[in-house]
Amino acid sequence: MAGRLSDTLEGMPRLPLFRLLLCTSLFGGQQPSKAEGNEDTEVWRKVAMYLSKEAQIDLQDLPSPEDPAGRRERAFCAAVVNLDQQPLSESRLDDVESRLKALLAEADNDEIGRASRFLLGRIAQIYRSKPDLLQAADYFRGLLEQSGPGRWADAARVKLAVLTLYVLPGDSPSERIAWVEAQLLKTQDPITLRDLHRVAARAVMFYNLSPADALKHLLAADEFGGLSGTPGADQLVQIGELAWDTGQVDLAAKYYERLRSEYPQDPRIYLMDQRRAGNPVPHRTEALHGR
Amino acid sequence: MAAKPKQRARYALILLALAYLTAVVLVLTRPGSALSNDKRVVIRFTHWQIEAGPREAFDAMIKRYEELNPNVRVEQVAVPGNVYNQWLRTQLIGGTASDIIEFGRHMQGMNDVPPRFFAPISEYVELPNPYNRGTALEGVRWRDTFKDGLNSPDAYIPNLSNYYAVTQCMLSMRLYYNPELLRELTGSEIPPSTYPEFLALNDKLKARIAEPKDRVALLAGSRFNSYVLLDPMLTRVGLDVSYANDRFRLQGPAGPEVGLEYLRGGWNFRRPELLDGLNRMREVSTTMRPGFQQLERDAAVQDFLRGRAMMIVTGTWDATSLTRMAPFKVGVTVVPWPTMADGKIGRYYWTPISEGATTAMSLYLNKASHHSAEAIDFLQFITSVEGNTIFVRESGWLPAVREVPIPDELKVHLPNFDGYTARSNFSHGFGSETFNLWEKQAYRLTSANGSVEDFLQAIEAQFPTAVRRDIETDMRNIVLSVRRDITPLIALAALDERVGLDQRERDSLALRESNQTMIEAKLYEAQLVLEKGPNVTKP
Repeated sequence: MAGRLSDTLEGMPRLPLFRLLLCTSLFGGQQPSKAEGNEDTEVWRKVAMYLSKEAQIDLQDLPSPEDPAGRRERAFCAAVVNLDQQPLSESRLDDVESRLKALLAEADNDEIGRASRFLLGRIAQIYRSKPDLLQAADYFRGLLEQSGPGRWADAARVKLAVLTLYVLPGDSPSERIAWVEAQLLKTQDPITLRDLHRVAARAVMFYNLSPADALKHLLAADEFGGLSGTPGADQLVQIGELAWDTGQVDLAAKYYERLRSEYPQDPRIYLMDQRRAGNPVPHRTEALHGR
Repeated sequence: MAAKPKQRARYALILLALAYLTAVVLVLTRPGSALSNDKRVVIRFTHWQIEAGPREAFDAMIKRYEELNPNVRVEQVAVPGNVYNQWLRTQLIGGTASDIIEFGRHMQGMNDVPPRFFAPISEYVELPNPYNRGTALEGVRWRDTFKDGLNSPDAYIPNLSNYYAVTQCMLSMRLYYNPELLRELTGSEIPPSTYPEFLALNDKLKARIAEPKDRVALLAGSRFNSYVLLDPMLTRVGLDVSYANDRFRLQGPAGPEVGLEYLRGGWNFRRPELLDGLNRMREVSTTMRPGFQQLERDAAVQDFLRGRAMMIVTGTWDATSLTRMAPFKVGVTVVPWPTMADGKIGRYYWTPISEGATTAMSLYLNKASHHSAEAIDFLQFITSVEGNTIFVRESGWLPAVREVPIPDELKVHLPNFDGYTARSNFSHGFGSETFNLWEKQAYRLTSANGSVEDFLQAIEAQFPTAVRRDIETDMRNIVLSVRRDITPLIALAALDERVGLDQRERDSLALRESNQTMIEAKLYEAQLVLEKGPNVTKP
């Protein structure tokens, strides 16, 4: 996610900047010692590598940070590590939730507070055996309503978009998609914009609305780039097919040529080659706006 | 007399104790164990390739790898396919599974395994394979060194939004035949090149050998061989149905999305194309000996090797075994699938169908491995130009890695790349419930006194419930996989703030977050379809 403070202050060394952030607005003006910082970094690395058990063991051995900022970050880290342990029982979730709520109660609009709110939303949405999607949406909405740097707000915006498109009580599919389109005006983060375009395009196709609208969104998503592998190849095919359905043969050909050059191992180019050669091919039904 | 049983019991106890002691000594002194003098790191590698070829190839690769890495010892564990699923699950749950594990999405009832037990390898496949230094692939990121860019559902698991496996070979389906039997029947060793020729050959064979006890079947059949033959009959004929339901513009839905389109009313088995496909399936099943669905794969191979069947349709995985074991020179050709050129009989069969460039034999990293760095290193070696060349030379299988030379005799097995993409499997593509339903009822379709209608009536009554269950299972697996990725993604975000990720790591994080979002969209779409069926657009 863009929107990090560090991205807005180009040229400044990253580590000192983070220390500065730790020292000032985010963690109450005190800096964790270098040793503590490195040890915590190693714990985060283990969590990032799916080594949750090892991370838990490391965490247990770490001395408690002396400064409030360090303690606050450590508490968040401990909650995340605990969330990653097995068995994932409801009582474990209750424990993690109460830790995160405590962090939120301490300060709700610093980096840790925002991350806690996001994670509370994810617990309600994904971890609970009976997901509470309305509550999850409330947490995500809460992040959108806060001011401040945007990593977690942007992440919440995309999650809320998905819930709005398919789950939350609401209006017609067109109005759900319109809500997502309105969010495009409220963020500048390119990845968030790309993902909002991607989910909007998918919902247009799921609800069988105008292929021109889906095409518009996928073309916008393509402008941001960044996809690779299967999702990257799929998006080129989707744009090619939507362009074909809307009668934009040259555009379809352009994207299929990109498929040929960027994913030469993808056999889906064959369909477009047959179309261009004027041969009959299998096609989508008119009910799905095919031609 | 009374003392003798007592004495025998004593001997038995002593023997038991000795056996136990021997076992303990063997376990404790095996390489890598507490009392072993061999202090090398031991990594174990489990697969089910017990055919002729791969085991020898793995031995050769291990030998070379150990020369290059004297501190590592690699053990291969070959487990037969018929017990592999149960064996693997037991090992994984017991925490005793190998470091590297062969796995595939075709393994029924095992969809939960990758998110629970395997470690994603996305971060590794984005970097060059160090064993490719000095080759044409030097500096190329690992995943791009594979012929398919690891763009297969086994290597890149869409539901888990991560790369999980690297692959070792390429596969294709071919018709293997006995030229001697063919010449005996037709006076020529030329195999049928069209579907009508294939059927005519079957008629000729039946007329010539009238006595059932002397009968040579045209095709060797087993449950497995019928699966690899009959399934494509339906998948290929279903291309129109697949494209007609191509809601997401991907050239046809795949996997559970085919089931969702069924629940939305997009298709059913009474579609003329699918009815026609079922008739072709029934037709083809008459070329195998009655009761073939009760037989295991080995029985079909033996029928072919003993001259009880003139041909066998199977994958390249059997090629080396057949060639080495047959007392005749085995012929190989492409399968004569029906085509539109065959007239009414093939009117719905679009051709050619791409055989893809997908690589196979997917090898996964056990999340619980204590030697994951060495395991990754070994995987890098066996999928390097050098390693994969050894594999091809020793196994007679096709390579997965670019720039690996393909011997002339293997070129007949090379998959035909150009053609339509058949993404929708209408029989076995949804999950274990529908798979089992199909398996239980298949006899109604293929047995002499069955019929397409008989089969359909049985399937149609149960298919909606079975497909719903499969979709629910898929949804549970999506939730599991999303859960599994939430904390690592949060940790990466924390690391980005703490120490800063480099651009590659940041791009990877963004892509994983993005893919997770798309998977969640799929999850809620499935939920909506289960709730509302065809009425998803209604509030």
